[in-house]
Amino acid sequence: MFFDNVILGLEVAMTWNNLMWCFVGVFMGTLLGVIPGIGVLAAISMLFPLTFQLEPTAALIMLAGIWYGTTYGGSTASILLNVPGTPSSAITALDGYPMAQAGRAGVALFMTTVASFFGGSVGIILLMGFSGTISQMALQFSSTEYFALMLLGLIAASGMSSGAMIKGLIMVCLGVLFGLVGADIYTGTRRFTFGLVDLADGIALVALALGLFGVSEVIASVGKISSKGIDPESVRFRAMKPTRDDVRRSWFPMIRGSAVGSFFGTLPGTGPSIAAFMSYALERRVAKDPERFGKGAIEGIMGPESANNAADQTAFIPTLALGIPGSATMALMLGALMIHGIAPGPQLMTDQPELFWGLVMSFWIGNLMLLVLNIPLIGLWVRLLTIPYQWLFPVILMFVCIGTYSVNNSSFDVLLVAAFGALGYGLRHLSFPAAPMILGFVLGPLMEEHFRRAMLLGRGDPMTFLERPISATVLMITAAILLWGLYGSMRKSGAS
Amino acid sequence: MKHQLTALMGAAILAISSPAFAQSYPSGNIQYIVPYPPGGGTDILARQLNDQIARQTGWNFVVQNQPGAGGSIGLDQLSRADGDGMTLGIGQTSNLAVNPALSPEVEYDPQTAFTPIALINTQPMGIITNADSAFADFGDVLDAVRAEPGSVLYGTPGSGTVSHMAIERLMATGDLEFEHVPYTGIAQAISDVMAGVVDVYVGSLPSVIPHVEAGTVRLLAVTSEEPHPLVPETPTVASFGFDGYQAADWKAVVGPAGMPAEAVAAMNEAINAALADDGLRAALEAQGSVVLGGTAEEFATFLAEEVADWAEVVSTAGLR
Repeated sequence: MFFDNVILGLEVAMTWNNLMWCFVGVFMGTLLGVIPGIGVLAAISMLFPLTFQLEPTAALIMLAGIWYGTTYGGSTASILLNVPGTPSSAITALDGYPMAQAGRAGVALFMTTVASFFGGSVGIILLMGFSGTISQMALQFSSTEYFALMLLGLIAASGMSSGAMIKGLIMVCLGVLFGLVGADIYTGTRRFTFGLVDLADGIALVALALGLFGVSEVIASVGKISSKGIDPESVRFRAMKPTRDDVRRSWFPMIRGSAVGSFFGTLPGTGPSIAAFMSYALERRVAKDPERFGKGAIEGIMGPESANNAADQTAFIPTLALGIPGSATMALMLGALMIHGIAPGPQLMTDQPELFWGLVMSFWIGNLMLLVLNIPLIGLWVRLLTIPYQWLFPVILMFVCIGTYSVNNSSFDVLLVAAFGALGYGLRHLSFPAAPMILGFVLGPLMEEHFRRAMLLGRGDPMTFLERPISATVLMITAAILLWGLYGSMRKSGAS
Repeated sequence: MKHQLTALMGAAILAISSPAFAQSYPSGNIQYIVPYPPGGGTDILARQLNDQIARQTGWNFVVQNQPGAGGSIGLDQLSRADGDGMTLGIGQTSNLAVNPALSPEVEYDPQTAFTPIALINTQPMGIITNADSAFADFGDVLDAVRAEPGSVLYGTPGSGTVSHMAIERLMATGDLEFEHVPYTGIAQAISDVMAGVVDVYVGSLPSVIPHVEAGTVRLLAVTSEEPHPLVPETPTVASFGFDGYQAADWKAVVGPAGMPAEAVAAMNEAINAALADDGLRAALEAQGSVVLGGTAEEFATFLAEEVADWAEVVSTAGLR
């Protein structure tokens, strides 16, 4: 039965029409992923009207191709320019950009493509073989469990960036505060909106990430234009070749990243961005020499890039197996089905096997296309660095503005990018790290949402966190990590 | 491509020669604001309707998605556009009736800032529970709430949504006390209903029907006045002793204030003609809609009632 379905899926995916739309999807996706700011939701939104004219399978294959294609392309700008191509690859900039500065941009781009393919493959295998089981498992996760997981992530990630711990904590808190802006989802009360309707839904992640990383990088480079020329050697094909050490260090991060990514992909409400953050935190936590992170550690790009691509694929599990779209983008995919009169829901897999299996098998084809498409392009992307900054940076700023605007068609968001760019520049001068701020911004509001909902569902009894087995286990692990960290720092201060 | 062009030209000639459209309206592309993101229920409805109008009249619509603040940002923008009829938009219960009463930042007055053009459709909310829940029907839910106020948790896709307001209206009418658990959208809420963590969930009928059909959840009641044609056996909330109770997500086409009467008439006629098309009608009904249509005056009267009704619910519940 399984192999019948696989063959059925291949038959559907291998028709010329579907192959073509798959290529269009992944090509557009990877291109839009490279361009900073234009994230997956904006890309899919723009191409959504096109799907009206397509038959539903082709439409979904194309939209899905854009979805995972952007994640492939997203790391490019993060690595080369310290400007995240998509929010889910913001974390890749932490170690990818130092690698590029050390003349190893080719290696970083090559290895992230491999990591992306690896993570994507793991995700597809899970999607093919275990959709039913995994979607049932995902149902076990309610707000109580989400809160415990987020807390684990935040604790594991504390001290995520290099530099003083206290500065990192301040930045996490600042991020949480920015995350609080907008309507309180429980009471509708407006928080820190200053009466502006544009702030009612809070600050857009894309504005914050692009401002802190991208725009501040551009500002900081003003006046340093002629300081460094690019080494022509690093553009050659040979420079893409990873060292034996690179390969050895990459295996476990890829496996761990794929596991983390697959897990967070299946949970509605999390997704590739959180998966990438969590994976980075995990790599730093398990590394023997965490001080290498933030200075071009290859583990710091391999984990997150496997994680976000794995999450991209497993995000289809709740969407297709339960009819529960985990994110706005997944909801859009189901919307494309509704247009064609197909009711998205738990029966999709049995009622529309051609569609389900055709789509799943197209993921293999799409991922292979991306691999083949991206590796030859690396040389071209790296050559971008040879463009003098006075030409390159204005273009980047333009794309940042277009990209931010396109998410909500909001000029207010463009102003926010400028404001966060200025803030990021100031913080950089005071050597406050930006990554913990983004972590606080993403996790803080989610933790609040889930804590308060868990308390509502638990009728105000905080014991609910310990009574539910999954949440209790996760909280115990969190406590163990916290105690271990405290013990370690106490011993260190005792010794000195 | 050539065929499309001929068809388009044919339609254009038809439109010019047809006496109803002999006026100068529209004088070009119609900008069309959808205050929600692409792919959502409102967006899909707007595009399906516009496609049908375009087929029948040859008019061209340029859809602009302007999401945010429960659909209020897009409508706010529409209210500031030129009232020449070349910028229109789609509004609904939330942004035309609920939000203005609920949200301090909404600056437009729904009755003076817009020109009502035509109602499109209405969808009730569905109240669902876990397949194995102890509640056999909606009567059991009401009994539980009456026996122990606040004992029933109800999930909704968010605070201030029509789903939330539907229960607030019920609580105001029936002196009942439910406990609200807002979610952010349907995904985790449905997951929690399927896991039995939350007692009932209130969401738009089309969003819950696939899960009802799969047998993972049960539909207890609908919030329309009459039983819904898609689920004729499901009782209405009103039938449990709440005469006149209804709560629905209706959608309508509006323009900025001060639109010329002939533009309103031409657009209203085009919408009604499109809604009379069997294909579009069937598509909308399959999605859980009851198709409305009607004159602009009827819509204006209806809007006035809804604005007053929801403002009363908001003030009774003390939500502002």
